[in-house]
Amino acid sequence: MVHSQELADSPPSLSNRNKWLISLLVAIHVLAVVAEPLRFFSRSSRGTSPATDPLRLALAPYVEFAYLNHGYFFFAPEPGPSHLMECRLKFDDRPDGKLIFPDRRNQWPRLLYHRHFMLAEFLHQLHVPPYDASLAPGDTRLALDWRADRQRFESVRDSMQSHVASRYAATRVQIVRLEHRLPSSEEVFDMQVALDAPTLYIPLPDAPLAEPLNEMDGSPVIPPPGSTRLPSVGGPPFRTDAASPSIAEEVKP
Amino acid sequence: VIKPTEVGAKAWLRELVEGWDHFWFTPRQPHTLAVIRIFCGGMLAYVHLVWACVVNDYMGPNAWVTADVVRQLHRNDWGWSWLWYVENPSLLFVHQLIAVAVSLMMMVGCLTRISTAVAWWLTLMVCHRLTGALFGLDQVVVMLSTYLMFSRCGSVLSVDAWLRNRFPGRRLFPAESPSISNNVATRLIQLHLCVIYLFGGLSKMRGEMWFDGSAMWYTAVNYEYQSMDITWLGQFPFLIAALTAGTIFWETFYCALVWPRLTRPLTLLAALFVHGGIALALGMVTFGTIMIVANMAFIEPRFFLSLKSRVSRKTVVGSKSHRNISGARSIK
Repeated sequence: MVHSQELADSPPSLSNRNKWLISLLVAIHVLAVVAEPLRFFSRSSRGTSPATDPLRLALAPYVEFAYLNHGYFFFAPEPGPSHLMECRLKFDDRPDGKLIFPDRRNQWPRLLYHRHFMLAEFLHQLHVPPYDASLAPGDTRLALDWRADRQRFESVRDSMQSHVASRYAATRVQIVRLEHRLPSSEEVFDMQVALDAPTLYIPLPDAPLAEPLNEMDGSPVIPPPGSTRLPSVGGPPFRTDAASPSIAEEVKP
Repeated sequence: VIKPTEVGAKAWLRELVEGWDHFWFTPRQPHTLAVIRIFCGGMLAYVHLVWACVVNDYMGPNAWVTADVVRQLHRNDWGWSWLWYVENPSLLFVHQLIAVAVSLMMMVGCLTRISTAVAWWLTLMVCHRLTGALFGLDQVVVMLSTYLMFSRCGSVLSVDAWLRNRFPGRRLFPAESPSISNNVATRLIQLHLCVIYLFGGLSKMRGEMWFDGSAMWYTAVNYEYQSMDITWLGQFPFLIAALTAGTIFWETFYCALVWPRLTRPLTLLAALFVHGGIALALGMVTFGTIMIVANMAFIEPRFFLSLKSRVSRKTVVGSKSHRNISGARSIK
């Protein structure tokens, strides 16, 4: 234990009652700090641990409002590939265009670039393929969760498409998620693959067996922002859908 | 007859209570917190300034994630922001200007008790509005400002200290003396940091790359993060693996190694290297800097006190010699 700063003259003191009160508040706060990473850490494909849920549930109002709901999984469990957004823009009076977010040449200062990067990662984290009834036969709970998660993804994606369309005066925008694969040391040193080589960028399909992505015609019509009702991302802490990311959690630092 | 075990248990319990009392309720000087306040206020001002420049893109009616979508994302949780109900770009811009102003006031220590609380609140409102665009930087600045607002961090190295001399006896300008609130705030920053590093380390144990020694390579070749080319590290696989192992060891055991006097300097030095590396090579100057600042909570106030007295001694000596020179000139 660390010994504190030596006391100067006439140190202030607290009554025992106040000490107990402060101790109680401090203990509750420290539990709130630990509650979310504990729950986050105990997640698996089967859900979260029943041992961590009650604490998180009891402290939910404080944890969530005070912005303490973080798992602190920085570069974890592994430093994975980056995810970007490729925005394909269609204009009435100009040739089609393309924008990439994040783009370090166009977004400055670096903090702003990083904000765009986080948006792209956020969209990727939310992604759920379109609902397929053949994969959830008779499982109402799975079907409901699947639809709700997909609706959440679509609402965020549509909001982003709508933003790009209005920002660049485009008639239609389609956002395609790109994965930037990380090259091995053999690729970099022996095969001389550049870190930004086009071959490392893989367009991610919306559905596992989706149509090729270089078609604009199949893209959804941009709805007005907020036209759909969304399920909560955070949801009640005892939710068992482990695949859903926590709303305030960014795995990327 | 009192059994020896009973005596031992009582003594253990008494020691526990005394240890708790000593840990939380020993008054502490405000100097470390004042330095953290200066950096945290400056960082908050910068963060809000950047938001102010793109207020329409991120909070306006056609934002990346509109207020309506964010409101529905948070429908079943307790996150709330008044910015969910404001989409007027001019109002949002004024909001951000106020946030920049109070953050600067926090930095210079002007009406610190009020400005720190207001800066915390405005940052919290922005965080709950900008779901999806946030990262570690936001988590740490909110964490620091939460604890700073309960302390007397504005009593030194501040405008308040100057005002206190002009208007003595005001509660708004607390005296430069050790206080329990300073200690509680410092302890909470320290414990919060331990939680961050512990779970940062434990979470890495779920992956293979942190164990086979390749994680540092795959971090270095992440083009979207990269701000300095450090791929040359890959020429030295042993170095890459050693850095990987060192990082996960340091992060996991930070919560134990940072407390003893013997290992604390090394642990903090490692923090400086890790976060300095993140700031320089991985393009996150803001996040790297604020983590280094947060680690300052483990530096005893007497270090900054001695630094301050050394600086003021030099200033006094400097002004005395200047006076002597000008005096000699006037004699001539």
